[in-house]
Amino acid sequence: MANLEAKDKMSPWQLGLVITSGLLTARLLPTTTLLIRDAQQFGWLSSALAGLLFYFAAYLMIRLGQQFPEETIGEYVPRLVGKTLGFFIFLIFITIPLLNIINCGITITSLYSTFLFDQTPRVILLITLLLTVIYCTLQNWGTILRVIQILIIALPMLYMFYSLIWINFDLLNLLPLWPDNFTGILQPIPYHTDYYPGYEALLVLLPLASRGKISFARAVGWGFLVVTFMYVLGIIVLVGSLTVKTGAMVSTPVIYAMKSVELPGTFIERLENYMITLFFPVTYISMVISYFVVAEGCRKYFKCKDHRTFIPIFLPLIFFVSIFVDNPERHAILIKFSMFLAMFFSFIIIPLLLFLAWRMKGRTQRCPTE
Amino acid sequence: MPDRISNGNAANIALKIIAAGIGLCVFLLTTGCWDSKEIQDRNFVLVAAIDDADIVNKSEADKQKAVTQTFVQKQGTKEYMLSLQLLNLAKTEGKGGGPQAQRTFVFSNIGKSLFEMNRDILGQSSKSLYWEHLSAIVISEAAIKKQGLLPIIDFLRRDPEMRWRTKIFITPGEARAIAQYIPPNGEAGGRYLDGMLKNHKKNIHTAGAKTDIGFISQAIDNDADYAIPRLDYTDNVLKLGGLALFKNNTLVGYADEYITQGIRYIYGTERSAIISAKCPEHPDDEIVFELFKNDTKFIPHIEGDNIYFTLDITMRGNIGEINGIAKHDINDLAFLHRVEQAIAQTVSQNARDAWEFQQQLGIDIPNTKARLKGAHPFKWKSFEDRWDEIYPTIPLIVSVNVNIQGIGEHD
Repeated sequence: MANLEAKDKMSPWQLGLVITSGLLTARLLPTTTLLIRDAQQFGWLSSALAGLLFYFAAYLMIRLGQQFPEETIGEYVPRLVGKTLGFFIFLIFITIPLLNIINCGITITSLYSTFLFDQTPRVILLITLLLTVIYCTLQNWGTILRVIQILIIALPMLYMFYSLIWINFDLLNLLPLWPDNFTGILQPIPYHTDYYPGYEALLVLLPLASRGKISFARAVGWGFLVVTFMYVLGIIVLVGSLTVKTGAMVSTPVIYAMKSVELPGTFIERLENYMITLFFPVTYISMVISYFVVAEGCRKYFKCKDHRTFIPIFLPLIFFVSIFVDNPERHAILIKFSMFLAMFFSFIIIPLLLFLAWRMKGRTQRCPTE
Repeated sequence: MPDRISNGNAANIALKIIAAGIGLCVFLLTTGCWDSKEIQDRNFVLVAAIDDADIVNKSEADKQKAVTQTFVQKQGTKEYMLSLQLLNLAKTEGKGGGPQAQRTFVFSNIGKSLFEMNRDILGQSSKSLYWEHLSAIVISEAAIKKQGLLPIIDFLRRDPEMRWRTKIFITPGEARAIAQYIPPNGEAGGRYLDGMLKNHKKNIHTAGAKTDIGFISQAIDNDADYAIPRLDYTDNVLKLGGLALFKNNTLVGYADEYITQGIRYIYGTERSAIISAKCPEHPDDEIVFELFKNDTKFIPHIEGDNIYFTLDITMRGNIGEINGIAKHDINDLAFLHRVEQAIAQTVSQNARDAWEFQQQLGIDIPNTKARLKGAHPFKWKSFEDRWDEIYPTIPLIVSVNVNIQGIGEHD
């Protein structure tokens, strides 16, 4: 139950909810093509393994955050690695959520301009989207949390709509059940940075969470479990209704599969439009969380009073990069860059920082006078 | 303290400016006042009919008309004629011509690219064309023989406006004539064609499941063979029946109603079928079985070097008709059992004939290749390269169990 009195604090469950709600975004739409192309019928297995791996990264971040309670990454990193390297790591850290905002913005505006507002220039859609994101991010954390708790309703609605593609499911499309290419299953795991984005927010949001009966790791773990289960089932039904070859040949398999659904006896048509509409709130949540994390992280790093100071600073960067990425080639480069940076941060930098934190703690315990 | 106040004010002002900006954008975008188009200002495409461009050479009048309909094309040759049946939403007050004539109208164009022809048709239309409600695609055999099916349907697969459950038909005659066809009930032609195919559940002589543009597109992606319903049109008579069979991009032949029925038995989509068999006691009489429920298992087997398929069908239904003059003791259980066996034998023979027909044509509509590969992925590799040689020799073992549950209301 949300504590409406404590405006800037949240419970471990709320932390889990925030991280979970930031994971599913429209970013996964183009990446699903790559996932099916490489993992074929076993995309679900690839997603399950990726879920485990990314949760492991989130767990390391929770452990790192717990070494420095009440502090964000920008505050303790300079103490661990020195000021220059600390600044560099902090820069990488804020680049990841910024890239999440840009990627989400590009995907959702492309989707809307293709399927819903084909006469509206993408730049207009982008400006509107960014303004709504900024408006929410300018609020205090308590208000943002409430907005997330309301908009999260769109997630089960979206999944319910998506489940309609079971109508076209054919087991033959999933066969063979035994993989003959295990590298094909492992290969697309890095692409899952588009399936599990934004958990880096833990490094800023942990100090905002109060300790409760349940540990942070368990609360976030439940969130990952739910999302992974959704992905696993989602990819099984997607391949079962589309076939591997078709899934790998269309630009957004999820939308394509939805377009193939016709509900007999109902007046509702073109179900994909409802689905695209529902993708807006779920992507919006992730963008808001990421923008807040950037602003709050900078506030702590630069020791300012208000996170709102930093919101206009990054706006031109987000806008111009989003506008610059206006063709598939540039988008592919951006996706790859985002993927490498997120993987590098989660699986190289974070374990190193955790190691340094443990070592520093060990030293402090051995030499309490230092 | 003054710092806090000024920060607070600045934040409030920023919030107000942003809120005003959002309001302005949202109102501009959502009221639709700058790019809105009323429904009656749109021309909805209901049927897209594609013919060979040579169709215009049939008569001098058509030739002259085509010169006006078409456009100057610098590249390639004029391969196809695209005829679009459009829904007439304008209010009509004229008395003559009948209501059907007012419901739809057809525009044609000649060229190579369907997209280009579609846009050039705007030279004949006062309103822009919308494909979201496309109900049927009719392609003539002559158009298919040009370069196959792929160049024709590429535009329909690529454009995000299209739907995937749109019905597609092949006609041995002229597709344009079908687009111009006015149904006897005055219904729009496209909706009429769509409805005809939706009756496939009760009409075993055609196939409507997995034959729309979405499923055909999937079959093409997977290098699988596929079937498209056949549509015949002669002297204002429109008839749906049989299938056009495709291997990759090429039309290899037609399946008549009997073979279509057999293919549906193999597929297990014969729900509500009407099956007629010879009476076991009076060979001149026919006993008709109305199927209510079926359960089909089509399973591949590999034993050593032997590959075979088994088809197990269980059917439940009623006696729908006894067509003959002889007296039948329909309440005699032994007689009913013999009728069940006769029906089972008919179904079994039909499935085998459809199987052999496909093997002779080298076509694989039930996708046996994928079934075999899926069920035996490791053994599949040993004969993957020889599949084209092996396929025509694979036997189908059919077992049909018929259960008559009712004999009709009046004997």
